[in-house]
Amino acid sequence: MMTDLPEIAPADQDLLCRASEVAKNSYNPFSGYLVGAAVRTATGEIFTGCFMENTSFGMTICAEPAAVLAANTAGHRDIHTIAVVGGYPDKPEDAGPCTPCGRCRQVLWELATVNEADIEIIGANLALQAILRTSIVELFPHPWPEASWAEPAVPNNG
Amino acid sequence: MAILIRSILNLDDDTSELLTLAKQACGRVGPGTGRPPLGAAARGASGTAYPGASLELSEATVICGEQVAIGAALAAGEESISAVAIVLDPGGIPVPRDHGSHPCGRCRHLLADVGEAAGHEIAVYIADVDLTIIVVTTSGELLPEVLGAILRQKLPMVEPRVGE
Repeated sequence: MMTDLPEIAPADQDLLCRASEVAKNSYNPFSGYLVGAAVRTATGEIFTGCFMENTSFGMTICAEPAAVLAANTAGHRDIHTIAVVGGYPDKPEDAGPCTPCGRCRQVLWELATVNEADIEIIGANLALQAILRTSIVELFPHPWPEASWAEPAVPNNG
Repeated sequence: MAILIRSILNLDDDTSELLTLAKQACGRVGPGTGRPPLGAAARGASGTAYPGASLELSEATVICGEQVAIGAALAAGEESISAVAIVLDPGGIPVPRDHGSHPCGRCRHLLADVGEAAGHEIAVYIADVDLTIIVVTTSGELLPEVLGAILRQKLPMVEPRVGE
């Protein structure tokens, strides 16, 4: 269960716990890798999603868009924070924090653009020991499409 | 850090060639959906450059030009990719003409994976159709804090079936 993480606010610890719990539902016959995600909306609702592999590999669905879709399906697009927890169950303390893949970053960027607000990202390994706090603006530099509310995509030094 | 270059004349011949190849590929898109055509080109380790055009199919089946160019290079036997050029031709589409297109998240991950497998970053050149606004960046800069080979290493090795 969640160890005490004094530097993480209780609400974010809760989000990490929800992501950790749902990670166990991952469908992962090829890699054995577990990933769970939990999003919190601006109004405090929480939605979860987990990793689902596919024999085609290319059609594998990550936990992050699964959680985002759950929120959107329920009518919530105002994602404020997303927690992502991932790793191998036999080595929960191995590896660094799980971070969204490039495709997931594009999905999160779309929502940030809709809301004209950055999205907080908390990534962790399964043991919830290695934790990275960041945001979609940080993880998706030089975004496509660009957005006026975010940092200038290109330094004007030419 | 990404830098901005105002003229193709400020680039070396190899990069100019790569950008020109990407620009030429812009017109070779598949069935149109009205989106701006994107051309790309990838340079393999051998020095050969391979063009790729975005395939504008049904929404979820769109394939980006970067993927086509990188795929063409690897399919031709290139062991790694040293550079990728991306050119957006807005054509009649109402997007700014003086505008390149930074790669989407999926293409960034492809670039990161291909670069990581080769043990080096990939140079990325992003230009408008007139090749007057050229952003120079790298695969690593476009996708920080990426979870890379961890998943790949864990994938089971599949033994070839023989004599069944």
